[in-house]
Amino acid sequence: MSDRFGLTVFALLVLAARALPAQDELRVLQARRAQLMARVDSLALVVRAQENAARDSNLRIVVHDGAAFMRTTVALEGVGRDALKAATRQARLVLADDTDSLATDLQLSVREYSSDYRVDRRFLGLGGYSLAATPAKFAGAMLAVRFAAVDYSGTTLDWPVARANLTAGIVAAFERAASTRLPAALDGWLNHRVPLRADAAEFWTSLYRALATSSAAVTRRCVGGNLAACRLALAIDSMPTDRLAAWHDESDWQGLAVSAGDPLNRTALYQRMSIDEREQCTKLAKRDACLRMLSLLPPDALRIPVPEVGRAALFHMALERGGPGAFRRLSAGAAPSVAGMLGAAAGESADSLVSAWQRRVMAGRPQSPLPDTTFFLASTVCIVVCGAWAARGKPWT
Amino acid sequence: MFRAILYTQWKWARPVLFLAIIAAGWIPLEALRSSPYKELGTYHVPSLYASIAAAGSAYQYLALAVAVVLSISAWQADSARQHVYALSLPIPRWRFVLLRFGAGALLLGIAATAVGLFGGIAAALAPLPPSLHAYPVGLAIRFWLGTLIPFGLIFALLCSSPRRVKIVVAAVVTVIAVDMALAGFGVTDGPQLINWVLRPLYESGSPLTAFLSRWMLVDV
Amino acid sequence: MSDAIMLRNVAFRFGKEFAIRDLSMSVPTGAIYGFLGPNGSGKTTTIKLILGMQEPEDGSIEVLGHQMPKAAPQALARIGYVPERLHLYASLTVDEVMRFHQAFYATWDATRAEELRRQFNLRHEQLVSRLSKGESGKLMMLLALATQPDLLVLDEPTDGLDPVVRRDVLSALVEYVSARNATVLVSSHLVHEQERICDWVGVMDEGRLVAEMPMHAFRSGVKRLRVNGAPPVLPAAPFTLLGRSPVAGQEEEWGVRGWQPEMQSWLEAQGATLRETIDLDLEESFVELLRTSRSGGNR
Repeated sequence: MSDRFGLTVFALLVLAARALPAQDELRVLQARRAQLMARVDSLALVVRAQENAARDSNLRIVVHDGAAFMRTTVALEGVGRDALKAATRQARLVLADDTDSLATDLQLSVREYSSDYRVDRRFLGLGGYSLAATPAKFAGAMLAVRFAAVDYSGTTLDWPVARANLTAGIVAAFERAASTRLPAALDGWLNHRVPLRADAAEFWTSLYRALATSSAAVTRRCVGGNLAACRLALAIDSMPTDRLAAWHDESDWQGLAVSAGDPLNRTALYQRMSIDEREQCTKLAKRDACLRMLSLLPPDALRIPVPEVGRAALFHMALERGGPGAFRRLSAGAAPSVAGMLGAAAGESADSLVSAWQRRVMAGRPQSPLPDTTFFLASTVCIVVCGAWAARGKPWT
Repeated sequence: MFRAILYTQWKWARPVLFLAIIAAGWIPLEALRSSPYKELGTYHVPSLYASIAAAGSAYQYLALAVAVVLSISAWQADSARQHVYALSLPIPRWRFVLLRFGAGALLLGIAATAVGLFGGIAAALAPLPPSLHAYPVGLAIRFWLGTLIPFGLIFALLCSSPRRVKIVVAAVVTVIAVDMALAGFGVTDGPQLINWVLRPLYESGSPLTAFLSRWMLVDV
Repeated sequence: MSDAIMLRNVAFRFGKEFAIRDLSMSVPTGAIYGFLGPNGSGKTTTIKLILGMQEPEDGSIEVLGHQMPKAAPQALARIGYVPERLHLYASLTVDEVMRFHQAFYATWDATRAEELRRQFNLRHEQLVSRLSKGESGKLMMLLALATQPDLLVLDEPTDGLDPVVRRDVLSALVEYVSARNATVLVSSHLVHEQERICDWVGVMDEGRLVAEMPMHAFRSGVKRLRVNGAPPVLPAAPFTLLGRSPVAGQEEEWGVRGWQPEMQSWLEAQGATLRETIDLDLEESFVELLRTSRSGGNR
């Protein structure tokens, strides 16, 4: 009886195993049919997406039909429209009316891509069989940017395309586009990008913290209340010829000697100073050795002490205080220095603008070193609840 | 009564408290000593700040360790004898438990005081740059509250009935098992249920945010 | 005479196996009440119910006029308790344990505690974890007596102690009771020891109280009779027939309580002959009682 039962089960298993490949093929065919149907539907939706996007701004998002993933285009209808709206709103906060003129010259397209790969099991050991058995898939989307008839490198977006990612990509496209309208000096000062990202709630606190713990003494003096130090640390007048002397004091030297510049900047240093000589500075903190190390670094190894986000905050402040037309005044670039350009945009003196920025930064200093009220309340409630729970507990029942 | 209970807990937790006090002295000294590049007059500010931030994590681990050991030691002797002695004393159970809780909180206060005291001494001895300031009192308060939370949780669990402990343990095991099963069957990519359960504990206003915030002896 | 301990229809379940059902008992004030029963009969659980450590599912418990477990702290303040096993904190010294215990009792008699410590040969600095079984027993008795309780609850206080220590502990107990007229509930399965000190006895088996009476009644009340020719079915007897078992032929052995010699005429009226009356000692009475209670005999 049990033999017969066993044989029956075995026979069924064999039949099932033989039927599986056929099942697979059938499933593939069904999937293709579904894909083709989806493709037809989605093309209509793409057209609608373009129309919606066009209504919201001067921008167009052109969705290229990827071969495999019809579903994306369907999703992009909503995602693309929302992302365009959000990005345009964000750009308008900083660029105001200039947003539309920028958008006219900006062309965006999203191209989906995907590829399947299957690992050839001949190249794998035994452990690779499971990997070889399941095909893997690369999938993503590329946001391509074209501004004033010039192609810029695209931004790769994660799959599936999320609204936030697409918005960030479009904002980045605006930032690059806007920077081309700035005078060269200001463009360089902003690191070739007009920052459009909104400041986070704790931005000023983190900026204060960054400046107060900066490796440049001049920046620390700036947040200590010295306005001249702020102008120097922001480098808005001109680049100092001796950056080390202008921005740093002796306590910064050893740290700078260790970390300033990138590896390419440090080639001369490595060639002309032996390890032992360098260790006179890096380990023994000998003043002369540190000075020699720093002298062997190219001048641009020492960067503007106020980081990019701090400079961007000053830039935003200038546009905000300048009101409508501020970005156009900046673009005109009549002033000889960054300070002058920002002052012109803000419609006030550079000193007054920097002073406002400094006050804002200093106001960002954490108010109290004690834990905040939420922390106090949450902790107290938790402790009281635990105590009450414990007091009600019975060890046996 | 409180003194008697405090004395027993002090006796059981004494070795750990001594170690905690030593650690409370060692952490800031080590953070200031190991901060590199301080030979040229004063500290190199970014490295000092990084070093102090690292010490903040050490304070958190210390707080957690002290809280766990003190909460366990508060009940170990009673648990070993099935709580018979405590239950035979002429005092309501809730009062006995709260006295033990209070004694534990006070002992944790000793550790927190040591953190504040040694932190203050270390910071006073160090030539801090003008943009940085020492906050030993703030750190001590944060340390004390930070220890009280895990202490309270474990304390409550340990003096609870075996049934309640079983329910808590069973709930945790179930969440983990379901999560593993969902991941195993390919329904989820990883431990999503655990994250979903734990997320509220780390969100703003939750007591565990104490351990996510900065425990800085020296700050801007 | 009022009762120091009074249990009325108490029910309590401990796990699936063990339960106390419909337990009623009374310990008269000033009595030394021997609480007898085999291991696992429910003596310790009953004591925990009396002390308010466990809550009964049904019934009421009154100790020294206080409802338990609601008023346990008030009652416990007047109770000295010596549990079956050492319950004190192992890492404390004798001196520390005494000071800890003192903190909870307003009635603590430090002089008496010190006297007892000397009498029991306990050293201040001895760690509780290092105490021998006898020393542990003495320390627990010291703590119980030094609080000057009105009621002493002793759960197997001399179990496992050597005879010398046992005598020390019991003499301290008897001395205290005679001086204070305190009530004592002493649980034990050592029947002979109970016989020496107790004036009341309660016997517990399988979660039920199978007998409760003055010691003298218990001691003399249970007898074994050899009876010949008794009919299988008997009318109501003037004594309590605990059980009957055949010996040989028509001869049977009866376990009886409340037997008086003049009751022989009742036997003869049933056509039976009394061959022999055997007096049982306390232990035999105890065993007879348990045997009959387990076989569901007529009490």
